[in-house]
Amino acid sequence: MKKTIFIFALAMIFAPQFQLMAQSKWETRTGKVTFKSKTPIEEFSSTNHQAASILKVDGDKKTLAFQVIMRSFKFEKALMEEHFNEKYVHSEKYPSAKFVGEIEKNVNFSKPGIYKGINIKGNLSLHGVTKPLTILADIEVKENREIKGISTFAIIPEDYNITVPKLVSEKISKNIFVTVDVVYKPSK
Amino acid sequence: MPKITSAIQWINMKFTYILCLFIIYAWPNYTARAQDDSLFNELDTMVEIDRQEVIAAFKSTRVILAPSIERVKNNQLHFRISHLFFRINSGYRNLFGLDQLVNMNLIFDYGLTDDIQIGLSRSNKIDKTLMPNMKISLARQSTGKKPFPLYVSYFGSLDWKTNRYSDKERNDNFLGRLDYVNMLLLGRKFNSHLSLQLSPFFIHRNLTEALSEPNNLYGVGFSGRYMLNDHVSTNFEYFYNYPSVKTIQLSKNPLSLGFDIETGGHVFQLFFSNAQALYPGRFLLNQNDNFFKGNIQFGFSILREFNL
Repeated sequence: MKKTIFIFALAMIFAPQFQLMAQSKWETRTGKVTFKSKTPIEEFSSTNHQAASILKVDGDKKTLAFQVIMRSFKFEKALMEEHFNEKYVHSEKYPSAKFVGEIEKNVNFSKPGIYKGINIKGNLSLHGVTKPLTILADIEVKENREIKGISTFAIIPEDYNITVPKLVSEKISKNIFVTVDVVYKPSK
Repeated sequence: MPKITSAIQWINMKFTYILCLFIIYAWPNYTARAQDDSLFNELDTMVEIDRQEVIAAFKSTRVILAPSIERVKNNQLHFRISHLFFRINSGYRNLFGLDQLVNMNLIFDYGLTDDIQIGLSRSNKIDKTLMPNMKISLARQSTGKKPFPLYVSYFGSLDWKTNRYSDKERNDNFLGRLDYVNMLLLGRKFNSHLSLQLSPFFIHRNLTEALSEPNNLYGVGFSGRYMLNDHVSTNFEYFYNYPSVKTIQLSKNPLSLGFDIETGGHVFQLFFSNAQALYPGRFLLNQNDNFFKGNIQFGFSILREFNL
């Protein structure tokens, strides 16, 4: 009886360690996130070069987490940038957007290779609203263990309680196309 | 292993097994759930920013008539046109003052850098004043690891009266046509609604209207805004003049109340004021009417921003 408990106790102590051994992590803080709005009247885009992201592989579980500071979105027009922060995403109240998701298919991150159309299922938090979001990504595992990921998806501002005033509603498209372009480096 | 002597003991043992099994299986799940949070904690430290400027303390580069701590950003051009009409209490025959234009200013402001703004404005009355001016942002209110609590800016204007005077001596006195306006702007955005500003000022006039008037004037301005919604704010502006100008007839401090309405690329500023002119070099001379006796004028500014 005592022996059994002892074995279990040992197993318990070492279980997390085994996990750690099977776990690896990649990260970046210079991910590129661009969004585009296109209507017949006006077209604009904004890019953020400071998206931070961590990719964690833990056995079969491959988790991806993103954090994007709203204020780091740069616009061509200074006024547009101010309005984006002040009137649309309210970045003082909601300073960042977050995404956490799991990579569904079997992607082997320890071997170089190219994977197309990989499903990443998760949740996007933006402007105080969290919604499920599944995105399609192309992933490339490079020789030097770097991982490159590209994904484009559409979001609807209304879904995240971002209201567009009627006066400018013809200048901002209903669907905003977001492109994420990251290169992860293995982290220690 | 001890022999099982009773059912209770057997159950007890099984229970320990089950508990152990449960812990072993639940453990990884538990760590997996905690992982999302720890990932974001890690991300938080990755994205931490040293210093980030607090933006949009005011809707425009002027609170109402006087400059605000907002500046025109690098390579942007603001064109502003301001009107000030006659007294509202002049009655319906004058369409409550709208029949008569008291002052009109045309203003160009350009951002040399994100911190230095230069401008040129011209007032039609009283002296056809041309005003090259400059606003320098010395510090910005910011958040982050190294925050700063205030906006600090300097505003300086050289008011050159280009009017033709009948008095030849005055007409030929070039230096006598110049006034110097200096203002220190101290502002803080308290929250997304409320911003307040203190503006100590110092004016030097080379030539005064009368000998009894002082050449130097100083005082302090109090101003602020409160956002009513994302597009409209209500503003106030009051300047206290250190009382040194008793000889000036009306000698009332300028008080202005107004609204800023922002629609995309334009800002409309509508205001009511007892100020007799639109530019600081004039309304700070305290030749203003009595606000509380209803001697109020309506005025407005239209601001358009251009990307160069």
